Amino acid sequence: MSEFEPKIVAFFCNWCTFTAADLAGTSRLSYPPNIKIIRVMCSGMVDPKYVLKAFLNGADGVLIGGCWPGDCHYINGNLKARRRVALVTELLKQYGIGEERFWLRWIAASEGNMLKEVADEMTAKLKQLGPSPLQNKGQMAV
Amino acid sequence: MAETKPTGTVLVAGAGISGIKAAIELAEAGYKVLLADASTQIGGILAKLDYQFPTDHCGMCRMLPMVGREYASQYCMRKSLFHENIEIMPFTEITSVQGDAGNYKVELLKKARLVDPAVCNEMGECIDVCPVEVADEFNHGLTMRKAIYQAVPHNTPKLLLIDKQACTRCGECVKVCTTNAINLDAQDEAETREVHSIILASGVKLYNTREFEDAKSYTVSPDVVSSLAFERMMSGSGTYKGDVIRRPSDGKPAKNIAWIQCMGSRNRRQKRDYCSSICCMFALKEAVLAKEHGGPDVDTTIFYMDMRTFGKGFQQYRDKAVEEHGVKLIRCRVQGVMLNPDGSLQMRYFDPDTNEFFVKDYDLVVMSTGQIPFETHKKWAELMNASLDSRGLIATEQYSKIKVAGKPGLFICGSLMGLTDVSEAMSSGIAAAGEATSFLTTLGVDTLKEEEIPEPTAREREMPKVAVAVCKCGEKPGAEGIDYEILSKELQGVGAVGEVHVIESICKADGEAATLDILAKTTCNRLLIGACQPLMYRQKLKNVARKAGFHSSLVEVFDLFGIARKGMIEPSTGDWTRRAAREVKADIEKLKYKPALYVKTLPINQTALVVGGGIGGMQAALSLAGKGVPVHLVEKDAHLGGYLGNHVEATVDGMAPMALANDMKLKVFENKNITVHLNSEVEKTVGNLGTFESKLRLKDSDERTYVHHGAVIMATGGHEGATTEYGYGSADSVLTQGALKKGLASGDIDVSGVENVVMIQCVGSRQKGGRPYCSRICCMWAIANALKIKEKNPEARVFILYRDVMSYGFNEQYYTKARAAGIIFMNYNLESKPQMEMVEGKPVVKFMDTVLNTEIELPADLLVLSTGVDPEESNHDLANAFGISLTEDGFLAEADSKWRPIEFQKVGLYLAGTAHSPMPLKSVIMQAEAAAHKAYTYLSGREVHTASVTSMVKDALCIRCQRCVNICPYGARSYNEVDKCITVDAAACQACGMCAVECQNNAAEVTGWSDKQLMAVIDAKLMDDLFSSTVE
Repeated sequence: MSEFEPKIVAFFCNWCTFTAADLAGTSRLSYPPNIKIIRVMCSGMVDPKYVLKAFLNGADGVLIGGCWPGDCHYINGNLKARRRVALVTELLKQYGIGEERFWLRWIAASEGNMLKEVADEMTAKLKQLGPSPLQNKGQMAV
Repeated sequence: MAETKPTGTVLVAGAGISGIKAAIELAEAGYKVLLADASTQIGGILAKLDYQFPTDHCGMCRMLPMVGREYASQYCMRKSLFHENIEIMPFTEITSVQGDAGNYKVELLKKARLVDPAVCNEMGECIDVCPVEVADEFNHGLTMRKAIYQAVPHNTPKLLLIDKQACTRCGECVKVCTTNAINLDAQDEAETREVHSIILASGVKLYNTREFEDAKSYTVSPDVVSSLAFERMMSGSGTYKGDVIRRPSDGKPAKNIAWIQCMGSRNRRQKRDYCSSICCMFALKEAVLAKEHGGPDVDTTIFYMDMRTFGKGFQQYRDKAVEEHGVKLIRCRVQGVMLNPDGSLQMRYFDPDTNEFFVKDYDLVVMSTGQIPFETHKKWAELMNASLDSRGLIATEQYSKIKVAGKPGLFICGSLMGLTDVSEAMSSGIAAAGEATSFLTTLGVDTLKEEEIPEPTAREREMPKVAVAVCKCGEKPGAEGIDYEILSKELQGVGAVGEVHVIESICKADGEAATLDILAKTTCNRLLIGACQPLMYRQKLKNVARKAGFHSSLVEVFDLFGIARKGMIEPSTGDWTRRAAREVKADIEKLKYKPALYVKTLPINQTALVVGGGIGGMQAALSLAGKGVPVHLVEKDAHLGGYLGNHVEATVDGMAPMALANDMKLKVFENKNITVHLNSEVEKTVGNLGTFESKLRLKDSDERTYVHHGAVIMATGGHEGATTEYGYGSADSVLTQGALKKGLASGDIDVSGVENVVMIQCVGSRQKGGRPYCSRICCMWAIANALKIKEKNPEARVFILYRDVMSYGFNEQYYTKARAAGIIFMNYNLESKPQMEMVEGKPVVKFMDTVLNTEIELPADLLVLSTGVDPEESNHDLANAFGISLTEDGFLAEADSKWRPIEFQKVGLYLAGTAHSPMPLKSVIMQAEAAAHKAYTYLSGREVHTASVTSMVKDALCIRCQRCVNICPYGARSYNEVDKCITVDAAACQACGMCAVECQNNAAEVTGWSDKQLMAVIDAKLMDDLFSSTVE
């Protein structure tokens, strides 16, 4: 068996973080393939149920990437995301999913290198933590 | 049928942000635009900047059009620009211009790139093998690049080119190039184009520290850099890849950084008697960012002459930089830098706050370099056959910053008007587009007619079946790593996929034919296309789909080669074709559940309402009326003209606002398109976008008038501030600048006998508890009045007590003139404000002189107070009536301080003039022109097309809790009291999805972003993983 490869579902906002991921791609900064990017229009669009769904379906971590405060394309969606993340984190703890598995990061469009750093850091952290406690338990039939 | 008129074509020379903005605005108005730039890329200075204040991040995407966003299909402006109506020509010089107004023949010289971007597959192996290394000018020589290179690190497409000077023609790159994209013998190509109008937006040359004699005493080490180079040192794609800031000489982290202001500017000896206007804010931002990047132990000091924080929010940013970030500001002109043996940089300075000399060492010195406008202006004037004014700049019409004097059809914008910040560059770009549009409408040319392909009926009720077409990219075997057989097989296995096709090259004509062929035969009802650069082809492919009878919203494009590229830089992942297939599967899932999207058309009332009858309001009304738009002009006073038009006879730069206003009043009353409502105020406005109804209240009466309109321009203006400080009101000899100006003009104030006149600047301004902002115009008013007094009575002594003299731009020359005339300028700061007491009925001013360091008492015959500019109190009521917001200071809050300065968050509402912030006359007129253009493009459409991706309500699930109404940032949702349901104003909705998350019952949803789709995407992303070590 090879080394544990965590699966990370990443919800990236279209305007900042998704663009940063694109920039990382074009500037040949490789980030781990563990990060599975899902483009959303705004980090504030990420419904808590998407996060739960990802964990239930076997994600070892969830990363939400949005614009820096004050930079939101939709005025303040990222701040709404921040408040929501705080709540969802509390909820996840009840199910044994610690906050180190659920990250919210501000990454601007020009910060391709920061995206790589966050992706590397989160992958390393999750490798250290091991599989999510929900693995093989909460599998939903698809 | 009428004969076909030529399509209006405009050449925009210079693709910095003002040029881009002008191009986008013209393209949105339906004209064809040629956007040429002499440099290898577009984006100008801003391409080098990762960060702009006040948010200290990039926000360029916000200048993209807000309506029709899914067709704009572009999200990051720094990468490049894609617009159907804009032809982008980088690396192109304008060599000659023949003809005149409305009929220009332009010779363009397209420089040879030696790499054909249409064939290049951007894999960059040529860069790896190139043996030549030269300094990279994009990073200001701080890094090296090859002779074959990518000019902008974050550009898409990459647009490689070969530096002819550096290339040794060794041919290594030609050998490794698999697509034969390189031709070392390619020649420059000349081309002649015909255009109707020209906008010059080239920006100006910047002061280069290596070129000028007066920089010699500073540039003693590579650790002395220019402010733009410093910007690259902080950038994620720059010198240190976003790491801590280091000294270029030895790579040590820079802990002590100093900025020296006014390098090259405000220097009479070098015949540069002007201020470059933007460097103060630039330095403040850099100092704040240096602290953020390097941590709190980084020490930042700015040596300045006057800290010119004159724009909206500038002063507040300065206060924050000093108070929260600990940026040190020292008012001292440092005369030179000395190199210490250990490589650090020594500077000596005098700190006027402590009255002491200091000798300090710094790791890095940043020179705030300004503009050198004359060369650029001379070049353009010769090429365009335009005249230069006495200062050596292209002469513009008297009250315009945009229109070139005596040359209809020729306009300038951006930094050609004098260095501008982003917000002014935006306004000027829009205004130039507006002037060009006005000009084109007089020519009888046509706008581009879109090829109207009717949207076919969507077969969305059928079982979703997706056809996948992947492009092989013809002669560009860039994705040679993709195994098309495996890819097809993998995709064939996905449930919803009906068929998989591989097309040779989808962007070429035969590729289009092949796509049409597939679509004609297919039994599928959705189509997913995998190609390169999806941004560029999306619109084209959607049109192809429509032709073949597919509903365009059921066709999606994904970036196959983006995935390919990512795969290639990860050799460890092995078989990445399968990985690519998995990524595609997520796209298939999303498309599978996508409903067909429809664009709604809403009627629009092609009438504008202009609130405020000052010079800005009248200008906007006249501009709109001139383009045939009926206008209602509402003024709360009994006469038009506003503050400037009724109170100010002349300004220091020779303009006559009262005469101008009188002239405009006549035009307004004569214009049959303008209805003037005097003594009236807007009481209430109802209705949706495009169809507003406003109730006007006639002052002191019960009479109400109703007007219907589709757009609103807010030009409410401002007036001179009030004060109780310095004994104002206690004696006739204490008066405001405005009163003095009026008195001097009318002769009511006689200065022939006066001995001492004392003027105090910033009364109640730029301080907490008063006006926190700078009123921008008071320094120039004071200088104008002081010069007038000197003119009438040369014996009079005039003292101006100031904090910073805001004589930005070419206003500097009046400051110089005032000092030459013997007007005495004395600095004070907030900690030791001047004191005033009445002695025998005469005001005596006491203050600390910072040069002599002693207290001075001045008995004044006249004590003149610069009380700043206050916004109109009526702004509060208007904000309520229109549902817009105010800034803390009571001015109207624009949509975005940098990128959308004349729009509100609400579509269809625009602002101009002092309603935005205090500004001089020419800027007011420019903004009014820009606002009028925005309103014109919006109104001329006859109907508003909503975006097809908008939020909607599933009424059966809705419990009417109205939480979505409260959370919507655009006010697009409302509760309909009559039908007892939630309604969405589709034109105002920006599809951010806040409502969908907020709704507990899933009654709110964004079409095309439904839960069902996203859940399926999450599934697809997590299924079939290559790393199936733990699952299944």
